[in-house]
Amino acid sequence: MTLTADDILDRCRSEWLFRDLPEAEVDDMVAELRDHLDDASGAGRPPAAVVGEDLNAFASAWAAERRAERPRRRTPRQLALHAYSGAAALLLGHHLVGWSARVEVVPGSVAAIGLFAALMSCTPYWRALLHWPLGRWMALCFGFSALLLALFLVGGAPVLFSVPLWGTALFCLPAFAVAAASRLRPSPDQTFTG
Amino acid sequence: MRRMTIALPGAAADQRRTQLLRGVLDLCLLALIAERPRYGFEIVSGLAENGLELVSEGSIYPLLARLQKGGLIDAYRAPSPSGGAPRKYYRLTGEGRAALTAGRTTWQGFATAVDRTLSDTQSGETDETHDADR
Repeated sequence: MTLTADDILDRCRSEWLFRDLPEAEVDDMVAELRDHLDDASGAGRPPAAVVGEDLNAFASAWAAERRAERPRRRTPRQLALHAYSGAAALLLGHHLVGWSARVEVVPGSVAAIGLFAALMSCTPYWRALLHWPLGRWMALCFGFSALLLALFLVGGAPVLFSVPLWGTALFCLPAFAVAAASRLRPSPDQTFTG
Repeated sequence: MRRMTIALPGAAADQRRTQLLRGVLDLCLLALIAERPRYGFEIVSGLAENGLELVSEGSIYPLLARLQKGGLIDAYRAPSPSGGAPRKYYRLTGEGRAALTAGRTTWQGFATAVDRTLSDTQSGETDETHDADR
């Protein structure tokens, strides 16, 4: 499949955003790449001459050099954050779907949270979400669901501990506080004119 | 010892050129930017004018980002001479100028040594050919 300049810019943008580059920096990189693709097109060269055969490798290499922090140092933090969000989603989901005030945490729940955190932190999942064809997408969804089901069938007992509704609320409180603070904080791009 | 001629096929020769260029591409970028501030496409064109074709032109951007992170170059936006939207130009810093001078010295010493080695081998091969002819 031959990618157009717009496809390339779109894919690079999603790759860089998901790699946690600040949006202003992503805009700067996209603008620079767009200029180059335009110039190359004017000189009669195809987009592949600019980004090479492996677009993901190109975008990753550029992102790695632009990022101030090395990815290895980010992994434990990412794992912790994803495990926290996975646990919060699981607890809230149990309360809502089971319509109960108490969630029983079983080994399957812990394994599912671990699997979610590992997948989100250690795999380029966004490529699957955004750029995979429907067939592969369906295979991923069915595969993941089957794996979760197997985890809960195998690890459905014993109950490790149970969490009351107020416990879930307390657990989710830091996430709500951070979300509220980031909403209230003015954006660095915001400029005030008298 | 029999004289052995190794004819590199085109692809292998290209691969060798790519590998050689990879080792000195940062110096080439610094040298081009030292002449005058340039934007990405101008840098690639400058390399091509000197006979250095890149497999993928965009491979200069990670390198430019690394040079910028290392404080050897900095960037600014300015309108291009051909008009249109402002371009991102790269210019050399004082630290970059010093790195370029040091890099040139290293390269000249290295190139001389490689040249000498390759020339010696060539004359040895010639001698052997003469011996075989005799």
